[in-house]
Amino acid sequence: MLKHTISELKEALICLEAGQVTLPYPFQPHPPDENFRGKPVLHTRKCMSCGACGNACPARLISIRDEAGIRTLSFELGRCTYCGMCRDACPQEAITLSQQFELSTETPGDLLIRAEFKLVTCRECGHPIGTERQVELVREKLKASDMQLLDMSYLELCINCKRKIFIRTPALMLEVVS
Amino acid sequence: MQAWRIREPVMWLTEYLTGNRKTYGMNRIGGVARDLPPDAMERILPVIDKIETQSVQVVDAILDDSSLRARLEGVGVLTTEDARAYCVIGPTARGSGLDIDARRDHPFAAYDELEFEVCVEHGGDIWARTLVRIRELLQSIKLVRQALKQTPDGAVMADFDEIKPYQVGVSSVEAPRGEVHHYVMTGPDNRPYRWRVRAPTYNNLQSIPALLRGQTIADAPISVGSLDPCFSCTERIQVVDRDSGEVRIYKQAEMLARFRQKGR
Repeated sequence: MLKHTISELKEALICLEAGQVTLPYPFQPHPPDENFRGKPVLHTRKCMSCGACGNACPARLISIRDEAGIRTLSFELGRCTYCGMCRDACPQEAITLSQQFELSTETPGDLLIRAEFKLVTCRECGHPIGTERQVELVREKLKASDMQLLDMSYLELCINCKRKIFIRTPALMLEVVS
Repeated sequence: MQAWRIREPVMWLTEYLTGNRKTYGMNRIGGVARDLPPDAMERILPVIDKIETQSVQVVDAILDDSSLRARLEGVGVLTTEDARAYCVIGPTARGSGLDIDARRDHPFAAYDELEFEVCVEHGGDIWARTLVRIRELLQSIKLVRQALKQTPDGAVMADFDEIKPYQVGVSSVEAPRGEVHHYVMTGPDNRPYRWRVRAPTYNNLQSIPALLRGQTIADAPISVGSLDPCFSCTERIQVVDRDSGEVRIYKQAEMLARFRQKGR
């Protein structure tokens, strides 16, 4: 009996010592740790829609579709596990995992990210060769490197037409600027 | 409730170390996603010390609490024979006197380099399972301390070539509720082709008929709770028709109505 009383007193002491431990959340915001992996955010200005994220995504929630001159990149976040593989795979650092964690919803559309990019078509055959941003990036990279294309319009060709034109006029090719 | 209070700093710690409280997302093929941050030691050790002192304090207080003992002793008894027959695992098995633990029996990760005790109790009742969990808590703290001291420096990812498709891998790991088995078959495009998980609650829940036999209704909730079952916290389901692509969402009320109809 005495043992029991002592143990009850100990329990009461622990509770008293702890005091109030609950946080005022959800009445006040509760910011997560800065390392937190929350809802992925796509920075469309940086994205060149290469699809590396879609290849890396284990849950296969990132899809890429080319249709009517538009490339659509969509994230169905209902299946997201916040692993961050898409962020790690992105060459443009266009995906970050945000601090957002209150994603519960009854409308699946709330968890959909869609980005549309204009496709550039080959000036010879009309086959899509990539998005405007991709072609622009190649142009920028070429400018920054010590290789120069003699004819920049070469970039507006698809891989097959590039080959054909190259066979006809190899002089179009790269020249090393010293 | 005090145990939840003591646990919370651990959740904050895992959020800082892995980026989430529960779904750590650390395991990758070839290694782990993140290295420990440089100040990890300074942040982990005080938390470990604190939960140890606080847990010991709470354990010390409840062990002599006769009302708690009266409520838990002799309730939800799973005999050693039943435990073996139902193939229960983890603390449920160890509370019934079965000396099994995947960390010692099939060492994985670095468990063969660490020292720990497999906690076994012979009562088979809720009190015994509680004691197993309490002792395991203290063992886990010991394991974390050893691991922090012995983890070598170096890369957190190994180099590997492409992953061959249609290869099979099976692993068993001792999770808090018992052995968890994962089966994976690799597929093309660096993705899994098949993946099957056998979580420990699947085994442990099978013992419910034996646990509840001859008991009052009032004992049922704590008996089931003492297995620490992990149910899916689902209040809606999404059904996709593969042929038409049509998506239909069943909300809580509809699901309840449907299952009640079935139950009649």
